[in-house]
Amino acid sequence: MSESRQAELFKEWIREYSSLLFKVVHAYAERPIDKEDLFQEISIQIWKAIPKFRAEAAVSTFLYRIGLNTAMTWSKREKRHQAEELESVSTFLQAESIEVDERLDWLYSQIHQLGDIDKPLCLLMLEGYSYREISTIIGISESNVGVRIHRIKQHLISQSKKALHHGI
Amino acid sequence: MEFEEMTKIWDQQNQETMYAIDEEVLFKKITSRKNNIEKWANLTEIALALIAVVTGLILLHDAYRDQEPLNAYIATIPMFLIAAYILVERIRRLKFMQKFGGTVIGDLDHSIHNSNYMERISRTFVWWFMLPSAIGIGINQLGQPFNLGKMIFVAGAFVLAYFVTRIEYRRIHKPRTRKLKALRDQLIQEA
Repeated sequence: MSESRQAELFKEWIREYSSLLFKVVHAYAERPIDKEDLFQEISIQIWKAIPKFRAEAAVSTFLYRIGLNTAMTWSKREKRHQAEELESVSTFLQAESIEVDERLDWLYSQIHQLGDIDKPLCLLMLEGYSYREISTIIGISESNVGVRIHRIKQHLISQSKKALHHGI
Repeated sequence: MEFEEMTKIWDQQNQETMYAIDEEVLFKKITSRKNNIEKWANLTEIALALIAVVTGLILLHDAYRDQEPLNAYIATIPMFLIAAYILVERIRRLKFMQKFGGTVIGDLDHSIHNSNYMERISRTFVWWFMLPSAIGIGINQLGQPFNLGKMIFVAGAFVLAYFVTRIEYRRIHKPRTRKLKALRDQLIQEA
């Protein structure tokens, strides 16, 4: 694949699937500077993976896999960012001034508290992937997916009931 | 809140994205970092292979110029063997990198393989680089007057190289491999 074709696909995918990538970034990083760092890491992995993309899988599934794998192995660069705490100056990622549903904020806060394995499963579950699809993406058995997803759902529902009592 | 409501709230993000991307800035960052990543990943292998080959050639040249005895020529063999070992390992690593996982676990396996490779290279540095180099130097010195200053310098360089690779192994590669394997184990463990 030529580099120009690779660049063309890269830009097209970032443009078309940015909301998907933002969900992963938002789920794994909390500070603006970490979000940009993680988004950049994911973008690099996408760039490297483009020549290996085969049309057997949907692009969204392919990108989700890369995004989740990168996010799971990413670690926050605490020391580098301590000096930048006071101003979160992004270079390519700008927060849009949209009204965010507080329930969505709550949902992300719950996702942040999930373990390393439950987090990607939760994201895929919320995206509407079936157990079989999640099993194919992650590479674990469908029964394992089913048990974990059931637990995550029960946990989120019970947490939402507690939050409801506190007015959310 | 029922689960269906959560998915509706989740799907709202598809209509209104939380961030805007400056594509040109992102693209520039990616292409510059992509080149750096590839450069640094290869640097250790290429630098060491080059050092070994150049050292071997210098020793060969000196042996020929000074009409040294046979042991001086034999002393160059370990250096070329080191270079050959590095290049063989590099080819094997690059061949494996062509394979792509296909799943998150597959990608993790890929990362673990790379991390294992770096760990092994730094952990066994003594055996595939230092020992052959020491043998080469030893053979080269046979029949030559003992030079204490030179020996101290060479020994010092070896000790430094040893500690640098051990630190790299303990602080970087071993923890990284352990973390990746733990993540993989958690993923495949039945709930």
